[in-house]
Amino acid sequence: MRVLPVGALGSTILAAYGLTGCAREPPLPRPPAVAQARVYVANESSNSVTVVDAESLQVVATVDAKNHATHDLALSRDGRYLLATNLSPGRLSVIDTTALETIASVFTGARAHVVAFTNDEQQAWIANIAEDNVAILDMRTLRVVGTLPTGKGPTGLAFSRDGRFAYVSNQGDKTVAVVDTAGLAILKRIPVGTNPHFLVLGPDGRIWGCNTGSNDIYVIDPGAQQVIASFQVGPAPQQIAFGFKGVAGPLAYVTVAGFNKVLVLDPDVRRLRLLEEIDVGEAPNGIAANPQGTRLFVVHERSNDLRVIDTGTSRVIATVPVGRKPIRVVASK
Amino acid sequence: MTTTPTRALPVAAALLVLAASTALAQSMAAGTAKNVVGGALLVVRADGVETRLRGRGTLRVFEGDTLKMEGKGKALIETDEGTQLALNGDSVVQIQSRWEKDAGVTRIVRMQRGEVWAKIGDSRRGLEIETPVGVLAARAAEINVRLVSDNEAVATVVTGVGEFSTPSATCELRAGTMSFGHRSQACTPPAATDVRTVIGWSRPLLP
Repeated sequence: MRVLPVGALGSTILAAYGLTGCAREPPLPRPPAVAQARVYVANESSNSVTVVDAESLQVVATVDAKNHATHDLALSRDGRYLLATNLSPGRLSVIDTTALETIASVFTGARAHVVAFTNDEQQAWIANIAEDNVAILDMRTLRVVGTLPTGKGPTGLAFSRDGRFAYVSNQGDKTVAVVDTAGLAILKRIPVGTNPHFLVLGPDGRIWGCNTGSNDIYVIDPGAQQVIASFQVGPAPQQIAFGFKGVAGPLAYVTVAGFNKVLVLDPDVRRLRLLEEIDVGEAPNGIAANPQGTRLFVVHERSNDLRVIDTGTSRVIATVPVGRKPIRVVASK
Repeated sequence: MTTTPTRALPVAAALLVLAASTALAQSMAAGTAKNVVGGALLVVRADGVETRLRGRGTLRVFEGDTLKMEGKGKALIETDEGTQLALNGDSVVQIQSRWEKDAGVTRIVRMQRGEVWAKIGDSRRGLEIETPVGVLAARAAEINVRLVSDNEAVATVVTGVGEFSTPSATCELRAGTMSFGHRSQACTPPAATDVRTVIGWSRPLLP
């Protein structure tokens, strides 16, 4: 992934596509795929990403983000690229997961907080919390091709299943902005709660979010574009993942930092209810599931470790030391 | 205090490492503001410290600085890569960069408002001018970008070739052409324009 000389790039596009003037750019050239499933952890106070083999649960590498305050992660569907936001410099690190090194550092905006690939992975969107906007990064050229004001203090970002809508939570506004991804316009601002933070697309096609300040989670229906359910989970809920417990599921697993627990919820939005509580480490934050939904990976920003939960037994089966203040974890898809 | 030769080498090495570390911790120089006509150039450092240039001078500019033209004046900055960069009245830009392992550092000017002209001498390392609605990238070229509103920009290539990308398309601009960019639309097809009129505002700044 490198930027070709402008003249050469223009010629390449024109020659390859027989187009003149405006052209859709060819897809990103890709390095070889990573064979084994992995788990990646962003260590905010170590400025690094810990790479863990998802089967052996051994640390494979620690990648220097070549930045400061590494916070959020997004992994490409084929696992070849990992994007990491860095709060302090407002930069995005681009990590080649085959070479296990940072290959680019792009300024996206002040306090770059969260990142997500668009569904076609042609772009990455980055919420810049101190600029009240989202930067749109072209993944082929690594150029910021635009910014979109979304609201005060954007901190969460997710795309709808069909990619028509982006959802951006805004801490300062206590809202989630619904963005028309084709027109790049805000369609609606949905009131949610205090300090809305993490957003994720659920297996039901709905957008699930945490109000870290009002101790609840909520569910947005992309059809109605409104909150259709919410549930009090306890102090400082952080992130949500989905998994199966035997035949039951998908179930929603919520990290609740103030309780040092992962809460297990029945995600039926007609009757959201608590099924189980799993004791974990100090200040659990990021949570991710393996593609099968049988393992949960939870990082703890005080005990500086990754704990692996077997969803069948709801027990922690391994603890892996990572860097300082781990915030976010992602797993191979 | 005396130091034996056997001790001097490790001490010197340690000092070199310390010097390198200190250099890494410092602000990264990006260029020099050299001429301001008809007003003042306000430079706001990343830590909020402010300084101004009026008339001719040599004010160092660092990565992360925000440059604001006060009033209707104009300013000329020379980047350390050899690019001449001019800001028109009321312009606000931030000096940034992108680093790539294979391509090195690319200088980036992020516009918040106003108008920017640039003459990029280096054919290896280009310049990118970002706006809220699109980015114009070029090397060995003369370009102009005007931000009409938060939702519209005009990119012009005076000499050489540029690539103007909006979130939905990329347009190749050749010498003497311009394109409009809107956040929600593809860049408009390149159209011929009178470049002398477009860049006339920057001429009084040049040596």
